[in-house]
Amino acid sequence: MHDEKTIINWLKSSDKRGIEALYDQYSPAFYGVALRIVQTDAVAQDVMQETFVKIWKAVHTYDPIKGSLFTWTLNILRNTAIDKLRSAGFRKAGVIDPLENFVDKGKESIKPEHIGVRGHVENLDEKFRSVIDLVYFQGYTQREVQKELQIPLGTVKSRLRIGLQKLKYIFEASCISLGIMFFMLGYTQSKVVWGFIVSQTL
Amino acid sequence: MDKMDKKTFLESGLLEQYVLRIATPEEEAIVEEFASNHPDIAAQVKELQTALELYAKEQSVPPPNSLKGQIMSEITKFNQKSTSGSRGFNFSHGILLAICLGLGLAAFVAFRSQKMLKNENANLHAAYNLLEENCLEQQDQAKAIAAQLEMLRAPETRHIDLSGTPNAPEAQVRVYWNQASEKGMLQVQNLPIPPKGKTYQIWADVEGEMIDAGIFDGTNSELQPIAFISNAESLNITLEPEGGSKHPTVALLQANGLVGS
Repeated sequence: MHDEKTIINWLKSSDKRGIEALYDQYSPAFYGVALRIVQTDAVAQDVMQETFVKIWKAVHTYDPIKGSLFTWTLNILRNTAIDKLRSAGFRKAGVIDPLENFVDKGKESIKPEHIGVRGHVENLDEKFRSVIDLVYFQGYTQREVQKELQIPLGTVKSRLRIGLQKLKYIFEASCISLGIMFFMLGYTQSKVVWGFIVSQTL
Repeated sequence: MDKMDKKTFLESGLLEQYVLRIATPEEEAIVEEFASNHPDIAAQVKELQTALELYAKEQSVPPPNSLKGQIMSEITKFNQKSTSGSRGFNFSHGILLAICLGLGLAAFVAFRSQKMLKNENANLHAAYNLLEENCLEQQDQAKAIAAQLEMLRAPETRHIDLSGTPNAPEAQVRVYWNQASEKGMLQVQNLPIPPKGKTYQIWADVEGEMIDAGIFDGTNSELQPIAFISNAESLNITLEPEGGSKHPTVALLQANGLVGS
């Protein structure tokens, strides 16, 4: 594992180790998102290739103040995947209702392991998750979500807001519980160590 | 947009839209301003971004093992393409530049030499015109001199010497007078310089009447034409106001001579 700073430095100085480290750390998350958007492995792999080349080419435009490297690169991936989808005529083609078709497809044909509704996200209500997913993973605008889910724009906005806050608390809570776990682990371990030392000195 | 307070801002959902990247540039500016003024909002932005990152990471699906190699070779290919591409570009660009420079230089030289030739041509033309003018002038002069010479050498031409009166005892003027060709010329041999505003004028006396035969330059010793007056009995020179007079000022008679014999 390399920290983000090292990866950024490598990338900015055109050191291929940057791409390698980026791939090692983020590719599962990227691939998961790419699959969610484009549905098929072959297209998702194309999206991955294009994304990494784009990152390689555009890394000089990355500004750490605006967000993490992950956020920036994921955004590139997301846009690349959405472009692929659009060029393939899935969305906004006008012949079939693209949004409906796309989301139905998303619901039905995604392999269960691709959906990745595991772990903490299970704690987030479906009504919040569907809104966040459409916007965050599939690049929908709020109006498109409104049309897609047939709910008022105000509801879209409030679900996004509340959903995101909930997401934040879910992950914060998990961090805290993880922290407590580590703390307890450390505590018990130190107790054992101390016990060991004490027993030895006696 | 009016400045909203923090509570309104937090309830507006802008923060969430910003993090989800669906905020307009104006909205982004508002969020960034709030974040820079309120550390707790900046922290919230970071927390929300982290939450989304973790959320995305939870969707993880391991990509096929071959993908990494493909991507790395894609990057290598891109690097080669961009370097060789740029070298090729530079090379052809260089040739193009050289050709352009060459053509430019040639055009400049051609333009310059054409301009020079044009200038030279204009100069030559002017010089030629001047020469031609001079030549014509000289020819005219030569013709005039030849005519004078011819007149002087003609057997019919008579010399009349006018001599000074008491007004100008030193005055000496010779007149050539040709009855046959009806031409008259005059040569000043000695005349006082006329006072300012005065000029010499010569008159022919025909049966007691003084007839104007022209004014002349008293300081010029060259031959000067005067009018030929038939039946002149004598020639008389007077001083007249500049431009000459219709009738002679006899009181200022300077020189005279008889045509007669």
